[in-house]
Amino acid sequence: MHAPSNTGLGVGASLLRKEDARHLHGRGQFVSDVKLANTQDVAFVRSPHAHARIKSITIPPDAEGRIFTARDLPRLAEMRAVPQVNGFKVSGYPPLATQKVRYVGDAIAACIAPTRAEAEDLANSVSVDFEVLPAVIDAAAAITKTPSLVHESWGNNLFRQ
Amino acid sequence: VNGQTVQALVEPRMHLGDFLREHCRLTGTHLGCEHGVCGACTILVDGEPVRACLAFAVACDERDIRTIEGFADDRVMTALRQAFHQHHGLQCGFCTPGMLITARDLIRRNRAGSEKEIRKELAGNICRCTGYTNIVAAISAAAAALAGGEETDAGGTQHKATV
Repeated sequence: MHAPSNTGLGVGASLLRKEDARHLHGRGQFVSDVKLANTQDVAFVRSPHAHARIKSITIPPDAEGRIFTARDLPRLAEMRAVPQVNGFKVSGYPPLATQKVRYVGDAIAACIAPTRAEAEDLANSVSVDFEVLPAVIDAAAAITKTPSLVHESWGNNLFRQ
Repeated sequence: VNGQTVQALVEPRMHLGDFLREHCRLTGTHLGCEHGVCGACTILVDGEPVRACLAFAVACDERDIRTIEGFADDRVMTALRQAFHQHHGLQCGFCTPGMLITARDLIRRNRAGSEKEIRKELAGNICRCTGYTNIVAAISAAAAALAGGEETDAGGTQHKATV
């Protein structure tokens, strides 16, 4: 093992990046910089609570077809983390919350409009009735005291048994 | 905006960031948090750094706005761009425009004297890629290069491998 040389060649050489110039001049192209004809904007209604049951979601009648909840998208599959670890308990991770929200910012509804501002207006027009549940905020207490279950079907808060 | 007179009728609620990006199509001003925390949208209003997401476009009537696209002939910005490139002061590039404008301001105010000072001054700009080490090194090198006239860290391979 020897220190990387500064010859500028070979494995370990420090290379200058080829993509810097555009970023340094504000000419990068991030997704939100791209404008295509008829592109719609989306704003999400998100949970203000760390843990809560969704009792009801009220959408204004005139917003039909522009606001989507999990109920409107039954074929939207849950994401599932399935690591090859012994005893790992798999949990569903719905793209839009179903019965419960499990963290602040958990997405509940997608609101689509021609501009970001209008999409945010739509998101503000949605009202969600929550039953706030105790939040799990301490890893050790989450196991010993079982104050509240993140996933009821697990029976505890251990993600690996 | 960047030396051009721009006239537009805007909604009172439209913030300067949206105005620059959507009306002026100056998409180098990036919107990260949209509540003044991340610093990605930092621009200059009458020469002072401002969060474009916290300023209303209507409040900027008659003001001089400068965005990352407006520093072509700026000596400090040129040195910073060179130093960010040499020291790998950027990865994804999202925070870079705000980072550069803040860095230029702190060099202008003579606040790039030490690593500690640079880190304190950069507290309002969040980077999720670099871990800041290379950004601080870049600003430090740019400040030194500007202070020392033509002297620059042209090799680009001298930066500390302490990451």
